[in-house]
Amino acid sequence: MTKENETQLEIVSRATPIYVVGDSHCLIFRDLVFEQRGRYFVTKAKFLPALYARIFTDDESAFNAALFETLRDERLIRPDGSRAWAATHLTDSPFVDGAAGLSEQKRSAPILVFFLGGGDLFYFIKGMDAQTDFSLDAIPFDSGQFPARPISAMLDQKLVFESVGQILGPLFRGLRLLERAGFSNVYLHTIPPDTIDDREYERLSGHFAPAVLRYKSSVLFNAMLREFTRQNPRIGLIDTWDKTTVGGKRDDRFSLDGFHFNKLGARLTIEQLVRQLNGRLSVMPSPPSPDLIRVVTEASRVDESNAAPFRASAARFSDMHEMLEESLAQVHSEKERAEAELATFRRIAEERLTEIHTLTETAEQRLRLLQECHAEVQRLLAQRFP
Amino acid sequence: MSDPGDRYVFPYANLADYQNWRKAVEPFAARQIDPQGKTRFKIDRVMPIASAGSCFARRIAQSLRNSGFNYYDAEAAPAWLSSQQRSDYNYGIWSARFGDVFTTLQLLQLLQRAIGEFEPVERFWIGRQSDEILDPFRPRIQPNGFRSIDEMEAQRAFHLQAVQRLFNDIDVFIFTMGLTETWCHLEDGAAYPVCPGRGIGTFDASKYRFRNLTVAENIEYLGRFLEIFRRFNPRARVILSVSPVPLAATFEDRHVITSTTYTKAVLRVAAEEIRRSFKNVDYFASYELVMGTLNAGEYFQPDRRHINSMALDLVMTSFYRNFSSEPETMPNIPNPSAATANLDPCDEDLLLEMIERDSER
Repeated sequence: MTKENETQLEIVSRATPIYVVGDSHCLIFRDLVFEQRGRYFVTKAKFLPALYARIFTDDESAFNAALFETLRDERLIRPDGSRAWAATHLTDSPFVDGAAGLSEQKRSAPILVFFLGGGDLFYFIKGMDAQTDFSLDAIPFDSGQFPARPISAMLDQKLVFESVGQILGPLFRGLRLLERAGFSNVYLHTIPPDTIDDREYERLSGHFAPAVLRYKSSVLFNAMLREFTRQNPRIGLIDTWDKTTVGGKRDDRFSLDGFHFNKLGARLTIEQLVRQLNGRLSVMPSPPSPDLIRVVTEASRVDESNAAPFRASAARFSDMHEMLEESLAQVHSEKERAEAELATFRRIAEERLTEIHTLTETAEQRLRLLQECHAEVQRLLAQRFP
Repeated sequence: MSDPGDRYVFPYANLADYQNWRKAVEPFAARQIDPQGKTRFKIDRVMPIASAGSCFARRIAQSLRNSGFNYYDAEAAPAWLSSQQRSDYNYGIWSARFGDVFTTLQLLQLLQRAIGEFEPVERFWIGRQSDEILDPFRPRIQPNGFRSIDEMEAQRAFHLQAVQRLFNDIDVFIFTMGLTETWCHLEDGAAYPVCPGRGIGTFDASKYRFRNLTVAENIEYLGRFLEIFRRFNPRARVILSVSPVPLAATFEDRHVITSTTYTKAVLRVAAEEIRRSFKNVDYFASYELVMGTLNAGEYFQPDRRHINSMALDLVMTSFYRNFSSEPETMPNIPNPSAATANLDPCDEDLLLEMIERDSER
């Protein structure tokens, strides 16, 4: 083999970027490449050490400076004046069009996953005496799973909920801003469980807090994150808590250290994200290439011994067919929702509606194409291998 | 035994300056006069200090905290509470979230409840809304009340634990006596900080009775408090003072100024009697400093009831000068510009609000 051959490169695929933004939980996601049925995703970790949920936006709803710079530097937003900005993918600009063309990418909403609240959770826990407790009437939490501890103060539940709401409020405000600006692929990640070992926690954080207080606080924070996404359904939730805990405590298989996910944990996140993405409009699977269709047609000239790959192709088309039908159903559902909101958010809804129509057409075209392919494969199979 | 040679010495021959009007008062402008005489002990910045009492006690607590003393807070607020939440939920106002303690009977019963020696029959009051549960012994501690009786009682149990901890841990307790008039439960004598009614509980003449505590009663209640306190914290010292804030209203059928005079006189005598009986107790002359006629009322706000910030500065300057082990490091010049600053209303002001409400619940 020549040296020239050794250095020969092949383009594997173009990968869909996933921006994972926030606290140190992002770090494990740095430059990971995931593949699902030939579709590639690359995670881009945007670790902002000084960014907390409580300072995500300021009182005037301006983004935290570090966050703003990150979004701007990644060309996700375009500053418009001193404080105003716009979503780059929706900006009417020949430059943006040109850039999209050069990179062979469609202008679509970038995928943003926010890992925030962990630092705020630490601030919350540290702000209480280790013997402090609070009740969680409406949220299931089994403190019996944890070692008993002396309790000397019981905080009022209403006050605690109100306080956590205030802590997370600037994050929620910021995510809503992004969503309203056209970032339709924004996801909020729940806070992962930390170590159950109090000594390890103290060694890593420099602060002692019993596991029961830490877990109870985590459960409360995550409940708030879930409630926010429930009330704001256009903002997705990546909730890995149940999968990374056993009996309410951390499952160490997903842990790198006392606090963070390892790659297995990161995979859980991306698996859940991709499942949700597949159900969303803006990242539907690419249409099958004409090459693939041609190969399938040529199957008529092969014999029984070569049937397996074609059967596999048929199965794959069948899967894609189902997926596209689901997507189509969602397209129609989205269309109805967009129409309902038209009165209130006329301008935004109209833009979205246009996008939906286009996507509907594309989806229908793809579906027709797939149906034809599927029928052709079935016919060939029936003809050749009765 | 005194020297026989002193036998013919004129008793007033060796008076300290502070004992002599000509030396203690005449040469000074009103703001320079400090009526505090000799003190029995000093406090330093290490000793844990707690306080309770009437509205005036809040100001003392605030000053001690701001002046770097080790002000004991048995129910410290979580660090993440906003200043508004701290204020709404009454964190950091007193040494524990017990609210204003106006009478010696309330103080005694607070300690008795904390150590399990007294369990009042009246468990809760209802607020302005039927689902607003109040703690009768601190009805304004929680904005809009508690959500249930269970929640209120659970919170109160932790609160009383904190009070017990407080009396165990402190070296100095400052109590400012404010009132003699009080409302008590007929059955067990439980004393409340406010008269129930008009959205803060419901008034019922068959359940509650008015009391105006006498000198003897105040001495008895304060004495019993000190005996119990000494039982489990023999090292602690106590500073008593009388609030110079006049009564907001009197239930006695007489002028509110006459009732104020009676109340303050009773409390002043009781404080003196207790000081004589308990070696670990001293008296702080804040009342004399503010109420001295020499001041011509300049220490009061326009309502002529609440003292202004200048008076508070003078009082605390006197306190630090006389009780601090390092008085030279303490501020001692009042700031006249602060004279008009408003201070937060307290629970006794609530009585005036209640009187002004149109209708009984």
